[in-house]
Amino acid sequence: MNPESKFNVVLTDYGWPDLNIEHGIFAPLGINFTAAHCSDEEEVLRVAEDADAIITGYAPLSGKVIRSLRRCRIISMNGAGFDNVDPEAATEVGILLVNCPDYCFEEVADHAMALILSCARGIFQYDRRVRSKIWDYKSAGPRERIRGSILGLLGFGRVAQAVAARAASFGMKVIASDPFVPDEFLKTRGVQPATRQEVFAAADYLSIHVPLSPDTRKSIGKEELSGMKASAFIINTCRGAVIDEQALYGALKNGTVRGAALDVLEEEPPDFDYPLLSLDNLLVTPHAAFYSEDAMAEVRTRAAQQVVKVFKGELPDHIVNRSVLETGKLRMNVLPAQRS
Amino acid sequence: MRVVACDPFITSDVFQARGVQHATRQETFAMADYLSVHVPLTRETRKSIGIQELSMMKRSAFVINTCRGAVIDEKALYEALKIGIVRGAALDVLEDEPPDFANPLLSLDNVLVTPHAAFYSEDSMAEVRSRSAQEVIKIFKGELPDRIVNSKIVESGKFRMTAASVSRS
Repeated sequence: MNPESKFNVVLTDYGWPDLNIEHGIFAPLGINFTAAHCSDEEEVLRVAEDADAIITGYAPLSGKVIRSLRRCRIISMNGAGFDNVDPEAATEVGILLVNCPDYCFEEVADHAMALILSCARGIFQYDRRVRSKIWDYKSAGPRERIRGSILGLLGFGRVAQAVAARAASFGMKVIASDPFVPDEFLKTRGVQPATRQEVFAAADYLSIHVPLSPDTRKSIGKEELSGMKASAFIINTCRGAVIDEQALYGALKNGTVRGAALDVLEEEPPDFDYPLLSLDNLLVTPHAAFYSEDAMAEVRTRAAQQVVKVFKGELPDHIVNRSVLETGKLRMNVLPAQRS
Repeated sequence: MRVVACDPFITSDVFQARGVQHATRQETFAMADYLSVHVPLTRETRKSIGIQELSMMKRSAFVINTCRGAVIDEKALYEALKIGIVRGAALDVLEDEPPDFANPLLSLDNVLVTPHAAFYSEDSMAEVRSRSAQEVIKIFKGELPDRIVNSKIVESGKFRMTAASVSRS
């Protein structure tokens, strides 16, 4: 019998039509696998309280939930973002929080670039005009040549770097601000380092690539938007809450900025009566930048493999709460519960 | 992306220099996930993309057209989009412009249409206006313009370029 045979893995939530990938990894090892669609803390605890490992996407794994998990040694994210999880609580009780930071960066960079181009070339507005029986190249307002325009990047992580490379092939000049990345590194990527304020002021297209944290929440508000060119577009493919949406609505409505393309909103799914969504100078996609069939298969495979690694006594690839390794409370080597 | 292309007027070394795989027309239709059309409209290219060509394509493929609408047989494209022979199309150009807005092609969910706007930016408009006016001045100065479409006129002996301007009172 495999040493893993008594392990119990719970998938708290998922949006795909079958679980072939997960079963394909766990079943041959005799690992018990359960999948659910948890939307609140009670449901998570009901299915996962005794789990040895949790795989999750969006279900709430608050401090309260995490402190009630009796045996869990790894929370493996089916994705890069982990804002549904309290990392400090995981560290406190000795659970490894593991994510998959790089599985979809090509998709997100492509999506950001597609949104940039759609703004630059007026594609979404033109398509709306034609569908309302208007055939006029001037019907989406004045447009400027993309070559020579300025792309401002907030954040210069993996996605932003991939966007910069794409933008360069369109002849855009790329500037970026990231407090965690040295200027020298930006220069090696052909990107001009700038202050945050300079990025807002200079960008014809502002693309946001920061993690959601207490520091970045609503960090783009009225003041930042007022520092932008009236001809500029805002593109957001990271997390909706980094923008103050009320302020953005005002700015789009009164022409402080020209337009926005958002893959993410403060609330998802949004209230569809929300006036922001009916603006003509707004393009919205339903948090889809991460998605391709290839990326989905990759993240599901990798999230499950991280669990197996931990069960085998190996450290996983991408630990979010690395400080847990120093706490002396790491649950990694705890034996699984005896189950009849 | 991996790029494959076909063009009867371009030699293989140009493809090679640009890192593009030189394919036959048929291979291009058969291989493309995204087929982008960039040919001039001539007697040979008019309606040159019809049901036969579309049927060679992957069902998952998209057709993108930014050259001239009439190179595609729009009835065939409509059928192909409707019954799933191809996945979608993005068209900046149509056979008739402005189109008859009752054209069912325009109401398909898997079609994106822009109103012959690919050429347009404030910069491109300023550039073309400056350059077309400058070509006129060149001629008045006795210089040959940059881009002569009917270049055999230079050999015809009827060339008006050096004719003196008419005196006006």
